[in-house]
Amino acid sequence: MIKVRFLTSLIAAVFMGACATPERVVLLPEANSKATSIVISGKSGNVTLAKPYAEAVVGAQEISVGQIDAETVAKRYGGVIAAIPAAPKIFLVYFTTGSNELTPESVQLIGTIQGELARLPAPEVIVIGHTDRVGTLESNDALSAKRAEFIRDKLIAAGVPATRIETSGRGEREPLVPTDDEVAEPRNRRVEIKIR
Amino acid sequence: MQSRYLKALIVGAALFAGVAAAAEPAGTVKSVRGMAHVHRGVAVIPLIVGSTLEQSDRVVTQADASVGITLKDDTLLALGPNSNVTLENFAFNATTHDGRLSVKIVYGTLRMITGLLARQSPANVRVATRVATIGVRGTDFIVEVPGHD
Repeated sequence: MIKVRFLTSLIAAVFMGACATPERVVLLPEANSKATSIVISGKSGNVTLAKPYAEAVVGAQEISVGQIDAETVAKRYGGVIAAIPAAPKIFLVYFTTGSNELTPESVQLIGTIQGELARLPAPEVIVIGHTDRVGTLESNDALSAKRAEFIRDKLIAAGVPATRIETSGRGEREPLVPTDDEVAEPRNRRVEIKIR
Repeated sequence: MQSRYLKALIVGAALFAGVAAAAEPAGTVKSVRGMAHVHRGVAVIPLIVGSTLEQSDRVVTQADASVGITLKDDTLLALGPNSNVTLENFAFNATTHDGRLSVKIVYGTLRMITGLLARQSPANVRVATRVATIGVRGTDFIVEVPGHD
């Protein structure tokens, strides 16, 4: 019985191999060890990959799930793994209380950012303003955009090419410290400088 | 007669606006090894570091080539050798983080590290292969589709 089954699966494997090489999907480990998962849907249904180096082998008729390891992945996919661009880096700048002036640490940070930019291929600078929850959503959108533009001007003055810089305002959508509406919170009045 | 002229003008303006909207950059090429091209409409343009990509672009790499791309929402993409990948759909609102991303891999290898779109609305991010669709909750994965044209 076992023999017959083995033979059948062997024949099936050979037959499938002859038909078409399957597609493969491999989940890689998440750098920040956050939960990570992907769902693969084919004709025959869905499978979920949730563990590092879990692999789905997707044939025309069925999807099977297995486990491979870092070494196998490096051997098979070394080229595509190495080609991934560097993850964006985020720097936070703060204003001295009740003024339009940056804190001395933030002024220093702009120098650090220039050094980092010099090492990046086709560097981009994205300046993102944030507010606390005092005021309306719309007025905070405008305020956060203004904060971002203020920092953009500082970056340009420090020698960062204007064409490399984009600005946006996230308003009150992304507080660093969650608060109720209409609560003043200086730590949420900040500007992120993202480089990538 | 005059109204026909006006209509033509309006259609022309609308077409121009459509072209202008389509030309909005979706991402930037950060690395190129070997020969890689982007197919945009009827144009075939060699890729270099700093090239920008748009929605509907098809990126094709030759043997021993690879390309690294950063999209506007911080999604990172890498194409391995002998690969053919289309950026079918890309929209990203930097204020709200709303939008969508769909990528189709016809053949080759693709690595993706998801960005802000997948964090905000994972249902709007997908990768299609010949026989499957990949829904993405995060974060880092490789897709291999055999074949070459």
